[in-house]
Amino acid sequence: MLENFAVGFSLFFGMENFLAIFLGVGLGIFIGAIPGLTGTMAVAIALPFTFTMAPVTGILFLVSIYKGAMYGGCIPAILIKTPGTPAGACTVLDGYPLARKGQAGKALNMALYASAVADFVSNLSLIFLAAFIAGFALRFGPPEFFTLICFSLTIIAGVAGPSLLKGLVSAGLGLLLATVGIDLIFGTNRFVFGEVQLMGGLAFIPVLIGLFALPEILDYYAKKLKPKEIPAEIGRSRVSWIEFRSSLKSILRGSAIGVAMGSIPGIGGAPAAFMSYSEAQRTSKNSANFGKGELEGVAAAEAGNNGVAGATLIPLLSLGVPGDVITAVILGAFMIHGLTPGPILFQQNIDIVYAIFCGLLLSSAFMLVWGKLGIQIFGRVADVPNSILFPAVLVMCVFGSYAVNTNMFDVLVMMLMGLVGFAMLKADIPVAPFLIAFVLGPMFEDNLRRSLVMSQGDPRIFVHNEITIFFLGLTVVSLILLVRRNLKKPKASRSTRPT
Amino acid sequence: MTPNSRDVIVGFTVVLFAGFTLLVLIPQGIPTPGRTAPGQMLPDFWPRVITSGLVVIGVLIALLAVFAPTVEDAGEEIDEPHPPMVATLKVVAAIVLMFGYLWLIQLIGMVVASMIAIPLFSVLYGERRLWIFIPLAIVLPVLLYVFFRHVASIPIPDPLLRQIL
Repeated sequence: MLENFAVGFSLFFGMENFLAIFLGVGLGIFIGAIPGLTGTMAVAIALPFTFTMAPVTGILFLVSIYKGAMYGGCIPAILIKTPGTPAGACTVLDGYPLARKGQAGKALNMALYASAVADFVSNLSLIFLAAFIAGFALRFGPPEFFTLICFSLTIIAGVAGPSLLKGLVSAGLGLLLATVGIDLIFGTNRFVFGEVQLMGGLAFIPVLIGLFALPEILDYYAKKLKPKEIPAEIGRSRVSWIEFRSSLKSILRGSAIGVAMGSIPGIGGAPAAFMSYSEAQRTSKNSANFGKGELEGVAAAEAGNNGVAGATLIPLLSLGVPGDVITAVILGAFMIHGLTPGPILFQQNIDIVYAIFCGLLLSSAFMLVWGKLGIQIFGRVADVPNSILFPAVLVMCVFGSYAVNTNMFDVLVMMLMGLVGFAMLKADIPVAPFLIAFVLGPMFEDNLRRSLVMSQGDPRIFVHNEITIFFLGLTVVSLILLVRRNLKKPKASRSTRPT
Repeated sequence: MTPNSRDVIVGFTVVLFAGFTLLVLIPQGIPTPGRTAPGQMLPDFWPRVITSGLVVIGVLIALLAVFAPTVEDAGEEIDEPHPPMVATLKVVAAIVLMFGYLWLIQLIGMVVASMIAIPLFSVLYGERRLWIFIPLAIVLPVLLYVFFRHVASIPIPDPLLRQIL
């Protein structure tokens, strides 16, 4: 491993990578701090800007945005009681009461320290586990990958929101759209209808941008423009060493919870934050103060949330399957840069993998730097009016979509996907399953068909060894648990809008 | 509209779309070879599986909405919405403007079209602070043009600006 690190470090050590991480983390915090803009949206819009970067630089830039956005979500949660990201919702519980007491600066600083520590722990877990799992995955052929992707597709249920059926509709539409283009086995067209531009299938970036950026922009037209809530004063209150030390146990436990939950596909940051928070509340000697402005509560929530960040990259890098929506986007980024995440990446591009690891470790430090330097500025980010921001985002979407293949067809696809996404928003159908299915669909179908060709149509190939049986077993268990959870949900919660 | 009635419409729309795809789009849009080797799945097999699944799910959504007890909207919107008619008109206008922007790009290029589009989109939101969005409308497209054309070497279609930058 040390040799690999040395090789990776030599590839990583360059001003452009330092700059990419520094700017990426800053941009991520900026976007995460704006309610209504998500990390996924930020990564989607930034993706075309990485085309001309070296693969390591481009990937690090995107991952840094992701990490920055995860921390940035706590800023409006603490200052204006509006989480910038779903995972920031738990931080509101104690962050906002602290801000009301005039201790917003203290809450923001504690959130920063907890985030940086959890992010670092999460990165270390990624480094130690990804290579091990990838080594194991080298034995995988099409049947093993097929069963693995079956299991990965169950994450759709995790991101489906209140209605599993609507999540499945979304996933079905994504799978269907992924079949457009030339059939890989027979070389015949599917849903091309004479349009040459469709022969290569729909480009990933226009679909992604259309689904994640445009619906929010269009939906905002249905809302009244109103003055933004005045954020709480940040003040100059600092976190003392004693305060940090008294929360350290919760931070480390939250980091571990984040790592464990992040490495399981489909869980995401919000459940990790809430589990970390409830554990901290259960074991803290200040448990009665939780929900009323307890610094340890902020630390636990942010540690759980940020502990997920590095761990979600474990299934992505080692197996080539995304752990959540944003890593599905990053998977697309890898492919655009000519890299295929998974065991092959560890075999053929070990230098790139370890260069990314080096960058990830640095991103935790840059998060701390940005947080300390820019906390006053980021506190004002929530003031940026959406009526100015959204038209600017739309123009960036158009430039970014065009840049993919330098043709206007992709811009048209982006706009049409925006309309699809908007219709889904209005029908309370979540878009996250669509994207995951769109990314995993071709892999699923390709491995299924290759496996059946290998076995001459005998389906027993999918239970022919312990790996396929293991993943099929996991898929079945996961489905049973998810269906049970969905059936137990109170009906009232099903009427709420999916995130 | 209650969530139940909305779900009935969603269910039927899914059934209609999936049915149309299954019965019209797949036969018309996916040519299938006459002979296959053992174990080879036809190109239309997977799309047929997906659309059949969508038909079943659409029916389930509609049935559950019909037979489930009526649920009121959670009313969790943070921002105050416009009255329904105004909201619909504004969204339709935004969509028309968006496709107008696309048409304009092909006519006069991406940068100038964006310079025109940003103020229009902002004004449609109800924004009146010209001193904020006019400078943004000029600076942002030029910066994006410079980045993509000169840093990323991606030719952005803009016949007018190419003469200057």
